[in-house]
Amino acid sequence: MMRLALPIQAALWIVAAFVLLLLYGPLFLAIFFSFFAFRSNRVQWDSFSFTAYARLMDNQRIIDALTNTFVVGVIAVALALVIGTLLALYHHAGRGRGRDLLQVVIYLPFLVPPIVTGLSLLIFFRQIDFERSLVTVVIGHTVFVLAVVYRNVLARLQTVSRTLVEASLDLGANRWQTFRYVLLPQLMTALLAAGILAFALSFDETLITLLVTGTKSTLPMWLWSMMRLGFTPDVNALVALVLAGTTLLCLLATRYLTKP
Amino acid sequence: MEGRVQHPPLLRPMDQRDIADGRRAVGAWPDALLTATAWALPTAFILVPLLLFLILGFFEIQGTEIVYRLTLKNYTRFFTDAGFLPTFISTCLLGLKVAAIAVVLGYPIAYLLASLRGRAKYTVAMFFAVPLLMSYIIKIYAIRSILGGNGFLNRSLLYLGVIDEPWTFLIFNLNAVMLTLAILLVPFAILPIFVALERIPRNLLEASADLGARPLLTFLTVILPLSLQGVVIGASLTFVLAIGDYVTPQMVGGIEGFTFGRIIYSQFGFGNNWPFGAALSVILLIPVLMAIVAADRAGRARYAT
Amino acid sequence: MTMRSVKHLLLAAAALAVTVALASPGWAKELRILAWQGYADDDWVKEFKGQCGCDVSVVFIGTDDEIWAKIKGSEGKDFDLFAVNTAQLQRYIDAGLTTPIDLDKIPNQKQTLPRFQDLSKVTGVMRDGKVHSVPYAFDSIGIIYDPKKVSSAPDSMTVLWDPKYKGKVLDYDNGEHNFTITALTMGIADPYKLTAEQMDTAKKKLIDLKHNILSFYTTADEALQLWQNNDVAVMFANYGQQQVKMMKDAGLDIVYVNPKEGAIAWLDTWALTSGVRDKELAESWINFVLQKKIGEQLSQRTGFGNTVAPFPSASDKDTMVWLEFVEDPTKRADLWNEIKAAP
Repeated sequence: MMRLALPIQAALWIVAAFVLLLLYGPLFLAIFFSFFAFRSNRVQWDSFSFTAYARLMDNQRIIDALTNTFVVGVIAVALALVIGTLLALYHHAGRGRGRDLLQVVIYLPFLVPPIVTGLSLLIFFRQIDFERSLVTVVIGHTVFVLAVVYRNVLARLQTVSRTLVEASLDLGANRWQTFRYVLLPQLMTALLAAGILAFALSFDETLITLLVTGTKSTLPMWLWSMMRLGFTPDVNALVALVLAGTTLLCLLATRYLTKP
Repeated sequence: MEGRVQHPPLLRPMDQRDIADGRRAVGAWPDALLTATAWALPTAFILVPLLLFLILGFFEIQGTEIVYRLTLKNYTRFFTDAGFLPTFISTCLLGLKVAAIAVVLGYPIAYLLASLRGRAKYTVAMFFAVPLLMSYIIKIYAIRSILGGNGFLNRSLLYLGVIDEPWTFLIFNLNAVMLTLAILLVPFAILPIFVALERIPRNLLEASADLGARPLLTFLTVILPLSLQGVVIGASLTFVLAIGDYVTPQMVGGIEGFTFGRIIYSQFGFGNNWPFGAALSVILLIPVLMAIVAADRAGRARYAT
Repeated sequence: MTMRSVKHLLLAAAALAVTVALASPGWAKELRILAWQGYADDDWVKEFKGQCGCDVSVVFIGTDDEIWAKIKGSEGKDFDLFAVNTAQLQRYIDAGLTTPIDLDKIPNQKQTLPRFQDLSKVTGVMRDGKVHSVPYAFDSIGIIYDPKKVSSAPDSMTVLWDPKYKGKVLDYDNGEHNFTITALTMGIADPYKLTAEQMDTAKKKLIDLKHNILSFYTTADEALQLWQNNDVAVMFANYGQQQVKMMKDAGLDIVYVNPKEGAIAWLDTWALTSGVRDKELAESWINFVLQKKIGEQLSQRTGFGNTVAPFPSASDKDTMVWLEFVEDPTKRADLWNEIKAAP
């Protein structure tokens, strides 16, 4: 975007380093304790081992929970992206009270406390006799992250040049083609950013999930339930692996999706 | 002559409907089916369940069951009973502080990211986004053990001789809640600001430089105003996430770090007063909606087309 | 467009397949349990599945509030069996969310420790002659002391008031429990239903207690940290065995004892929901976990007391005063704030 003077660059990097320390510090602490034991108020430096990781591999329940979290996340985000874009287009295309009301409705599940969203959905599902399962979890997550997707896409839509779209329609493209070839490329960054935020929110979502799930668990639910007895070392191993996996995935994504 | 002429996708013959439609702003939406599709999910899975639930705020509880008699008791109780209003206000203030910290820390980082070139930009950005995908329960636990009297921070400071006695003001109070929330939510602030900065057309900056403006002036008069939308969105997102949270206050707040989120949560548990909880949730919506409206206002205008 | 259509079709098919997979109920017999971590360990579940030829799904929760929200919100339909403590159980019975249990189907209940043999003596598990839940795990709130600093082993909560240890005492920051233990030291029979005058007397005593202590604590690790960084001799151990384990792991030399006037204790039980699908299957699970070997493992792994095998945390001689809902939680909380604010 712009070239920065060296002292300013340095100052910014210092702030960045500080924030990175804040963000990763807690995580590295957890990872550290996946390798070392903590006994008698002291780190046992001679206890380095991978047993926590071995135990993790054996812990089928955690692996199932992690899998469920991913599946739910991917599906919910995909749904939210499609529906959120649809709603943003709908809103952007016109005026009227109906659209303002729709906007409030879309934001509601995100704005009210998660226990309210979760409980209201649970009661609703019970009343219409909709079996609780990972499907209800997906629905819960979708309505929860919809607001984020909608907002990001709408914000981006509002900056798209109207003449560009008009020109496209004038030249004979129908609505779908205009969307596909003109609007969508412009929305890409917004969709990507929204998708990442939405996935992050879904990945961590505990309470709504807990309330509307049937018999399946997700990772946040699992971790939440460990509060009473404390975390077992394999949880720290899990943190390490998830961090490594996520970083790797993102690095690959930036390598193949961006130009050097 | 060849057979039928194949028109490339963008140049097929127009028909009457397109001519009428094309004249409208962005692309008309006359299709009733599409309207219905747009409204389907929000109505079925948001409007109906939430409305049915929030309406409970106008009923009251007797024993364990809800008595369906309209009443404003829950709302008046919020103002009359001690403890609710002050906690509500302190929670809103907490939210504002967290949002402020997140934005103050987030802006320089977003700015730095926007100034990077090519692949480096996205790689570094990614490092700030990855922690979002890590479980926040783990993070809170770790932060709690770091901030504690016997925790990593104090131990290091004592070891280095910076302090003589452990700092106990960092844990089990509102400060701890504020710091923890800020750490957790900073990435949520970075992303929208980054997106907003990215959108500033380069030619505007070049024009400003060409006109003789020094970098600081360009920043203050061009970049900052145009990125304000991102700042407001980041701040409002952080604010909303901060005031509704009850996990962080429960884990690091101790007795003093009591927030409105915990009050609401307890109505659905031990308190067993769902109507009251519903009413309090509606009340909490007010500052939240205000934040959203502020963000939207910041979003309108700005871009000439 | 055809390649794209094929791709879309495949995606739709995949989505449909995933949806079906996500939503499909098990076709075999299924037992659905809602419990705390530590109450349905993997190896026990595996063994039970082998025995019953059924499918067992367990969802673990983190707080009591969630159990209520899930069970009440689904009107008991989402689970067959849930873990609940005796105090809260009353609320579920009142709301009709439980199904009475047929003790004949649970022969192992006859082999429990003497304290749990006669269920009519265990406050809360029975209502109108019907058994609504079966005791499973418990822990008590007692006294932790440093044997080097406390000359003779204390046997009552009154040691917290002992001026010999002024400034070396830690108290748990909670009004309800503090009033209860004070009432027990006063010899009041039902410490959960205090009259106004009893509360007044207790309040004065608690103000005295406040002057004898070093500090209040809320969480177990806070207590540990206070103990490690200060000269503390005696503590109101609200987290029972969990605290004992934590402190011993930290290398501290401490002893735990239950007060002779009676120790507040929570008792977790298994209850059937009103929406239980296979009552006998659920009852067979309860019978299964009431085996001695499972009880021993439960105590070893969590530190909590179990109802079938003796374990050091609570001997038969200790009196347990099972937790109940207090007469007026708000009043106790308000008075507690006054006590803390009093000069």
